[in-house]
Amino acid sequence: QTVLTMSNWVPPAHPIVKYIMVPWANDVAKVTNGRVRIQMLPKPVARPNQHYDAVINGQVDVAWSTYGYQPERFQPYLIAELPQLGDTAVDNGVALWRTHKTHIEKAGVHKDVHLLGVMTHGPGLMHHSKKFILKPSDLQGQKIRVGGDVPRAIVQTFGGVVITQPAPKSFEVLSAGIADGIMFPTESLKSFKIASIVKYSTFVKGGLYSSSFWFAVNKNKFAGLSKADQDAIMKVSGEKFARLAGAGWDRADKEGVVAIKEAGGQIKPMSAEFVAELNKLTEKLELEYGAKMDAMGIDGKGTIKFFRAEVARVAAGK
Amino acid sequence: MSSPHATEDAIFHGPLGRWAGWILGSVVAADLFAMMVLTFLDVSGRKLFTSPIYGAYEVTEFMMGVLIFCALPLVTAREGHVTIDIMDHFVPRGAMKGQRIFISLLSAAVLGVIAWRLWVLSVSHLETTEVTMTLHIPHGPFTRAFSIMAGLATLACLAVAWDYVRGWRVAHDMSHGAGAGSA
Amino acid sequence: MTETLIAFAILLGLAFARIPIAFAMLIVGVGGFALTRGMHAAFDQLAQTTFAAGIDYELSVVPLFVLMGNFVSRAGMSQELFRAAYTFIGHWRGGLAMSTVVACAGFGSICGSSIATAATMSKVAYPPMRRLGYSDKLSAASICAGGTLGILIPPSTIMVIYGIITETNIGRLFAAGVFPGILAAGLLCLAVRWVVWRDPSAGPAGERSSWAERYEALKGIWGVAVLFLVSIGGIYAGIFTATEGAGIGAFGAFIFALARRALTWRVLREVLIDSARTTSMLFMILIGALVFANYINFTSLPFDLTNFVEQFKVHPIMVVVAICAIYVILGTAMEELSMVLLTVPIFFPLVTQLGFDPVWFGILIVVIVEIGLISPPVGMNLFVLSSLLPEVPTPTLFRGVIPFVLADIVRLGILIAFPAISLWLPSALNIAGK
Ligand code: NA
Ligand code: NA
Repeated sequence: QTVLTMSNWVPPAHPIVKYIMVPWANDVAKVTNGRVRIQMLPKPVARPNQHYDAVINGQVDVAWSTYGYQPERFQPYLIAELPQLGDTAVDNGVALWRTHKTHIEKAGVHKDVHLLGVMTHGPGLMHHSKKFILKPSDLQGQKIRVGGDVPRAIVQTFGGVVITQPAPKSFEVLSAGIADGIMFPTESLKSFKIASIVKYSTFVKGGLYSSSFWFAVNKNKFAGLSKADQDAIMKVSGEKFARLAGAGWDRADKEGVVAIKEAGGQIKPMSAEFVAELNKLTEKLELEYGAKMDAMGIDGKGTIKFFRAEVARVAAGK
Repeated sequence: MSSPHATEDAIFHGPLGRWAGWILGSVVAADLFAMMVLTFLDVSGRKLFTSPIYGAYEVTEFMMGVLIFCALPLVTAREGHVTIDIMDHFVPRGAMKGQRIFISLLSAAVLGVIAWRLWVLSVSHLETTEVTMTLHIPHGPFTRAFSIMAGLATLACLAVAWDYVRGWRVAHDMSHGAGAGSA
Repeated sequence: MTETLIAFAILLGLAFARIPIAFAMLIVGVGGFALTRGMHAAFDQLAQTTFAAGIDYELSVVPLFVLMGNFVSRAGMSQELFRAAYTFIGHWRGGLAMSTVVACAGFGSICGSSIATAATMSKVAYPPMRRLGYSDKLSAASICAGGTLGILIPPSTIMVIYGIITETNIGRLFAAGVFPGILAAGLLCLAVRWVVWRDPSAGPAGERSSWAERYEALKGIWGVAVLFLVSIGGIYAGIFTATEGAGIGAFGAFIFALARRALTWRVLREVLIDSARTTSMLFMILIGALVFANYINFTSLPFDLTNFVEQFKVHPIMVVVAICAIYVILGTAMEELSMVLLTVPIFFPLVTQLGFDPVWFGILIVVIVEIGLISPPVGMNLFVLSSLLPEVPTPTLFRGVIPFVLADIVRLGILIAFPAISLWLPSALNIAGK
């Protein structure tokens, strides 16, 4: 029996562990007839942005983390952060995996690990403590806590004030009024216990942004498994993992919506006027992303086109 | 602390050690003061003018790194690391000198490994363009600088050992008044 | 479990052989990690942990609170605090010693270090007690014991360090220290009363102050009140985060020190470098503890320890009592910070496994450190006091602190028995748990 240690930098009750990693670990045990067992460490081995190196260097065998925490290193995979993509985490996550396979993999970003899968969280919304952000002018002068370049671009474009504080400080930042609002998928309102503070949520079709995650195993450790076990593990990983993870995130988002309702919050769509302005921004962000990809030898425009087409295909059940 | 150089914050003997100590002292002083002012400006900017300093917390993070690693040679030169010295009563006077030399060499080895591994990490940071999320501050130059500071601390530690060898520092029972200042 | 115990024995061996505690933890942590995960992984872990701790935003409160403490120590605010307390209770028997305790509590609200609190207060409180004919036993011991309030009443460097290594919310820890701090001041005053009841000549009564004088003296402590309200109050009023509160507090203390002409360029440089050195020293210990804890993470020790304890079928609270008893005994002979850092990675998982609140355990740990600071023969506050007051013989000081150590042990018992004393305020303030 081979034991693979796994590090999670979120608490054991977090949806990523509960709905994604534990089920995946059970799948692995099942398909390998118990020959490979995943052991969750009681504490994370390193900071979130250090997990990738921790896998490369063998501090831990299996781990996952957020691409956006290392924006230059993982630039191609930040495609999933763009606004107005898919409506669910399944759509975006599966599309990201397929895009990885067809367009990005050859760039060799993940050459030092064995990539088990990728995932994205559900569509990001705008949550405010005092009012709905419906029109573009509603964001003027509002202090919004963001992480990552896409949410920041949105807040800045519409005249908001960007508050940069670490995500775990969200409760403190919002309850103290350091920020008036925050951009998150609905899941995070439950995870960070902020549903009772930000009661005015607004969304656009396809989300304002999303975050993407890698999920990988140490290369030597994986190579040390028998061919049969490797194949069995990959059968429950890759696109299968993107679906499993997407379903986990979508389930967590639904619970987030329940938490919002229970806290007396409401969710409204943003106005057509806002969407029209956002379209322009999305176009600009796509150009920027495309240019960076072109510089890396990846067809930027084609990649985005492919991603959007796959989102539609997955949504259509393919 | 009876070392001829400890009082002036020199990190080892000679003008170079004094000069390096003075520079490091100035860097950490300016750095800590700036950290304090940055927080004040960020908070008051946010409160009074709704314009916080963008990404201030990431700047604070790296200023703190500079503070800790630049002060490391200063602490080491003073033998300022916390030790449990209650066994001093039981160490024969004649053995004390040897004990201190051994401890200093072992400490130098630990600091040397830290310096080496931070250097290795800095190579990886530079190769993979590791940057922060908000301001895209590159990690590499900082890991490299921290590695160099750990290297200086290693030298300071070796200088302490040399002091004991030459008798410039005298080991005595320190189990009273070793100023940790930690609690 | 055997390997882990061997590792722990080696660690203690190295530490008692006078290897700096930080390096001892690094050696054993990296060595143990190398045996479980390989040399390459162990070295990578060392570099990653060192770098990450060095640039951890949460930890930036450490240098800033240390700096704040150093500024207020220079600004002479301890004088006003002592005067204000004196005008109210100085005319009681033992009143000056009680004023010292109360002033220490006040000073603790703007200074995060016990040693700094004791050192500062010794300059202010010892001369008047001596003039009035207090016994050295009572005067030095009351400063020594009062000083420990510096780490229980927020801000507190120990709480920050505990918070970081156990991932406990620092804002909650700070709030949890307030009522135990008040309780502590009360019990220390009772200890003074007990001393003067046994020996009335130990602490003669001072003059009674008029209400006009009291009013004047109260006005004198506005500086401390402002600083506390701005930094700690600002955190709970939600004006800024705990991390920012440290920077604001340091800045406020800087302004006060400046306004009181306590700062020349030379002094400013000294204060800054001194704070930086203290910070760097603390961080090396912290990094050592984190590397050691990373090794423990890969062992089954926390799990085994829980099983080991469970086989005795004692009530969980008895486990906590036993841990505290071990600590109090160890604390007489060990440097307190290293003691806590060495053992918290092992005891913390056990205590939380048994279902206890990490914040409550953190307060108990702080109280244990306080006791260790003043329990002979090895206590940092004792050393500081005997070096600052060379006229007080060390054995006199050692005998003098006994009633205060006992008062502290009573307090520890009360805090174990009534967790609400610690936990009510953080929940009332609704500070989010992690
Ligand atoms: Na304090
Ligand atoms: Na002690």
